[in-house]
Amino acid sequence: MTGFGGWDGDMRNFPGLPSGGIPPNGDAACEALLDGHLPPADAEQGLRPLAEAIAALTMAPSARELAGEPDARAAYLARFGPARATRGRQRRIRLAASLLSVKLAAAAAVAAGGLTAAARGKPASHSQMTGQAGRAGRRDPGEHARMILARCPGTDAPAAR
Amino acid sequence: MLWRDSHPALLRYLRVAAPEAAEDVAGEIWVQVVRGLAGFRGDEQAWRGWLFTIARRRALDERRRRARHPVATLMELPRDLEPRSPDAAGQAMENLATEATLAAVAALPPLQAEVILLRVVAGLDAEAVGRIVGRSPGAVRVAAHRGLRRLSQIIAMTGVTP
Repeated sequence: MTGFGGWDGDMRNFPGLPSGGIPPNGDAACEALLDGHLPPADAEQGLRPLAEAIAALTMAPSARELAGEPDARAAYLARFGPARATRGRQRRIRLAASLLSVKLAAAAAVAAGGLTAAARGKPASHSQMTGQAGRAGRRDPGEHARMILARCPGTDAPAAR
Repeated sequence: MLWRDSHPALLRYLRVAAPEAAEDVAGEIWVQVVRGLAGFRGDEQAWRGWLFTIARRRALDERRRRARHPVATLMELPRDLEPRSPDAAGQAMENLATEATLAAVAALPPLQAEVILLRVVAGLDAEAVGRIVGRSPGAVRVAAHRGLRRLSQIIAMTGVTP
């Protein structure tokens, strides 16, 4: 305690000391300074040194204050940047590959069913026919794979052979 | 980028709140920010409040750590062991006004210095500062106004002019 009923951190201003240009009822001026609404040019003569000091606290950053930017950028990218994007891309590629293998397996099964039916002398069913015409007849498996990969954003379709 | 916008203000706050290790503490704060950023929700004012809440806690931790384990500061090192860089003189001249004012603010009682920096440098209002320092908005205003009056006296007496 200071002996004046205040905490050490809030010692009273001694009445005999100059107030440094702030008028006795200068709460509005103080708030304007704290809010950054009183630039030095607009401050009264007595208040100008304080206004300049407050303005200096919000000056544009120096090169020294921004020196750590490359390190900060690298640290951020390590957590949120290309590494994470690469994992997501790899996940999409895996998903596309599994979809592709399922579709190729289905196409192979349909084709095998048609061949079996032909060997037995029965006509292939409608679904088997449309399956053969729709999947194998219209485009080759490589093109099909490229089409599926192209639907997945962020994946690169393999080049045509 | 958040870092570019906030780091200079953070450093200026820490130069008063944790002057011996401002850069190190700032680095730790950004690590914590990056870890928690995914869970953060709020506007710009909330972002600054969150950032400086972390900063204040880290600064307090650093002060406690320094109290438990005092370390030699550069002032105590022999002059030939002090690190030097070719542009040290240029850097010292750069932003001299800000440095001089931060030194004057550091001479204030801790609460007054802290609320002035949080209001001016961090750009927070009295309510947000009150939440960070654990005081009412009215107490924050009183401390800030007293701090400004004292800062004005320091400037007048010492001739510190930015």
